[in-house]
Amino acid sequence: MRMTSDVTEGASILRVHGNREAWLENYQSLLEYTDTRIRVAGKHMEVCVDGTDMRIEYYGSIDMKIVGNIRTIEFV
Amino acid sequence: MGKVRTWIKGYIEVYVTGNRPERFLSLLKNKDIYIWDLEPQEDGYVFKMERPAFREVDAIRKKTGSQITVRNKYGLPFLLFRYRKRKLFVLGLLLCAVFVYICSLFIWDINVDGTYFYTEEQIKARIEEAYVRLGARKSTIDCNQLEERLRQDFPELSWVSCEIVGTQLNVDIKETLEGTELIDEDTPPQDIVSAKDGVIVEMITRSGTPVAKVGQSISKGDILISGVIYIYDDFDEVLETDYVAADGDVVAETVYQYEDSFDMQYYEKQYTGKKQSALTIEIMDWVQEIHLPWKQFDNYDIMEENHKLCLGHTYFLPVSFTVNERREYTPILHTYTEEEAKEREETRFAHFIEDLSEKEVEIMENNVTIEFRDGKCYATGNVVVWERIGYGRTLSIPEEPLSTEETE
Repeated sequence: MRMTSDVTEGASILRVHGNREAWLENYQSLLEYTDTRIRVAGKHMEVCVDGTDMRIEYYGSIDMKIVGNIRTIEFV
Repeated sequence: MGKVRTWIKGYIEVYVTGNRPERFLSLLKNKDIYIWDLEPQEDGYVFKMERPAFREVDAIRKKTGSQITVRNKYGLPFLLFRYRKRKLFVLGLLLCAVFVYICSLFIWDINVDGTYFYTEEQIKARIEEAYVRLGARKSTIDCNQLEERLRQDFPELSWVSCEIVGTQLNVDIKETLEGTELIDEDTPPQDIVSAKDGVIVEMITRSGTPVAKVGQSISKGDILISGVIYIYDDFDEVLETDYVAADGDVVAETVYQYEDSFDMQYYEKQYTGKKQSALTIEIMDWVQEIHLPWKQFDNYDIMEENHKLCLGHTYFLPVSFTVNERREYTPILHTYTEEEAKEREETRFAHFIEDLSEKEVEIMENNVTIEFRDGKCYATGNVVVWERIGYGRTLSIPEEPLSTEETE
């Protein structure tokens, strides 16, 4: 059986529904949060979500939910 | 449910500022503290968190050197704290909660949907009279048994579903379009007999011996399909007699007499605008009417509006308010013109036809005439229809004469 990289390497998982909602798992910390950008540190890279009216609906130990008009998602 | 649980536990809105508020948030995450509605502010963040988790926040604050401000407090613990000195209020609140809980154990409303031939009131009345009265304990109600009994009481019901939601008993029904009787093996031997006078136009026999024929005139009570089946031998002598539950469809042409009349003069209500209201409060069997002394109205209408106290959509309580309003009117005498009277009579006749159609009757012809005499409008005539006229009548089976060998 082949294990996925989120289990073996702790890679971040990003699930996006349309351009309005996104769920991010396996993240380490919040680096930047404004209403146009949310930048989150993963284990190996950063996830940068840009858009307008950006908001974090919840922020838990397992995942976080981002809502707003998402324009771009960048892995740095 | 999650929101209710959070409200019961209590939650707070926190504003965090400082050098690195993001670090504060990361430590919250590491401590497995769930936060929501996280929003950026000028030099910090605002978020909500559950009250019990707030105890751990102080250690994180010291570690990160952040400043935190509690902006708002929500939920039951804060509400109880605010009203801690109002003991009677809290006692009332608790009693209210107990009352609501106790009421939730009983049925306080019956809702019937899907009626067509029967009325909702008919089915409700039967349920209340024989099976589930208002105020019955929910735990004593067997919905499956109730469905079975309703199907027995109302043979035209093809499907019944009973469900308890909140304090309401919901009964969904579907009725058969045709009033067909189900014939099974347990049905006792029966004849199909005529319910009315008429001329047979269609006849299908499923079991039994057809006695009447298409085109034949029949009277009320005549046997149309017999439940007796004779089996003959080669010499045309009766070898054996069988008794079965006769079954079949018999459609006959029958005639309905239509007679209707009404006065050409009538009173129209002209409301004066004067009215008086009363409020009736009902709590279980206790009824109290509240109103000022009634004004003297010569003629008035009573409008009644009943409101059952309900939490949400299905949580009915045994408390209801009824607003009665008396509206005064002056009766003004008018006379119909012949055109108006004719129009009114045509509407009444249309209702009569509509009622007939609901009985699965096919209208073939009508020769109703309208005439005006002695200050009245008369409508008379015949309506010729095709309808099912057969119904089952239990057959009396003659006892077999004892054979001579047995008597000896």
